[in-house]
Amino acid sequence: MQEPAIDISQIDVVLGGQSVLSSFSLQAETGEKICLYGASGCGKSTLLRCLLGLVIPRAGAIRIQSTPLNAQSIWHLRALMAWVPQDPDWGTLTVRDALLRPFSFRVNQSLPMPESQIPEWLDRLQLPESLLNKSTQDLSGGEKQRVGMVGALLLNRPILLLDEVTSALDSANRDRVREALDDLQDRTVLAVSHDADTETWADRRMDLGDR
Amino acid sequence: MHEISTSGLLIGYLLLAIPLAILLWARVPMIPSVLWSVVRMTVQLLLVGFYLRFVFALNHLAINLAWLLIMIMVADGAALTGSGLRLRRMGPALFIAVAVGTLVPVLIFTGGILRLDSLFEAQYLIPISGMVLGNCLRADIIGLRAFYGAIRKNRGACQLCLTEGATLHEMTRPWLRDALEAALAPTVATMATIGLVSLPGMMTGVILAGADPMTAVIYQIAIMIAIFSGTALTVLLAILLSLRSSFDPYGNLDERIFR
Repeated sequence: MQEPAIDISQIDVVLGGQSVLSSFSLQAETGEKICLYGASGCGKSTLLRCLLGLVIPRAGAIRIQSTPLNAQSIWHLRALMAWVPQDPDWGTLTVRDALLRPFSFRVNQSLPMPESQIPEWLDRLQLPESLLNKSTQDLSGGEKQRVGMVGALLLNRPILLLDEVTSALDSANRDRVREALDDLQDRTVLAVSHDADTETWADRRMDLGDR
Repeated sequence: MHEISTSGLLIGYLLLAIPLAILLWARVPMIPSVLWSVVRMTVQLLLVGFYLRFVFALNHLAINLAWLLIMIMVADGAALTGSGLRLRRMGPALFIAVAVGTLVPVLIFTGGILRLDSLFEAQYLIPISGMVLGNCLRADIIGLRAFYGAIRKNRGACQLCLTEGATLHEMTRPWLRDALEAALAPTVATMATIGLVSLPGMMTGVILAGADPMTAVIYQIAIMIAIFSGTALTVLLAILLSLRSSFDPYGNLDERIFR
């Protein structure tokens, strides 16, 4: 049997003295698309951050594609995951520089430069090409989320971690993002949403507040 | 050089009546700290005077180096207090940064520029090190504060960068660039305006001591270059060497570095 793409086992997370996740477990098979939902503060975003090594669980274990996540492996494991935060922050970079930045990092240097794919993805998510020269600081919340999605898709990583990526989008743009997710075969998706009913692309929905 | 007599210095202290009167009149609540600072200045400088007399007369390698070491350690502590960072975590990195940033230009100065027989001759080593060290200290405060302040403020941007696959060095590169710029800008500005706005203290001292102004100018040029190279070196080292103790092994900024 194939190892799960993501294997979270009995993790405890404490932030600022408060227990955010306790004995939480979750397995995601390769290619599975999971939508986590629940009230704000129930630990949805924190869970994604744990997978990325941005929050370190106090107990429990995480395996990504069967590699245990630790301080050594995280630097390689991050290259398997693409994260779209709810409010992506690229500092003062333009959209073009933000999209190309990851390809300047050593770990991604074997990847082909995606410049030819950028117009296509922008178009699919209803973003004009003129946006490329704009500062990311001048984007609206919805534009940021879609640029974040484009960035994640360009990296073509096997695991996508999406944090409320449609929260600032109107329904037409939500559909665009969903269509893009629907088309991603063999990609493992772990998405966080406050409204799971609309995430029709998901194979499995999980209420994080009800455990 | 015309010496200042004790009675002359006392008249100098009377000059303090002017700022004190202004503070009193404008009700600026600074008088106790002004008096305290004047007392400290007097005591500290008199002690340094006595000590330097002794050090110069002995001109012993070990004592000269010990003096330098003490200056560097005091600077180290002052830099961390000024930058709002914790001494215990950053101390070793900053010590190396200040020591290298000071010693490299100073030894090139005494050995290459002045061509002294002994690189550690007290009369040159101590005042020149003091000037370079003082500037290294100021630059490290600006640089470390700018660097860690920006990373703390831009936590989200740093995290996104890490998840894109950046190493710690790749992630911090833009902030390093900004911090270097901030730390070096004052020296660059000083070099550009030096002599126009005011005469630098060292040059004034050499002129007052009776030397030819051109000798003073040449010294000042060499000193400014030593200061600038020292500040660049020390800021770069202070940031690079403190990275390991300021981030956890996953690349997340350790908030405990801040006071």
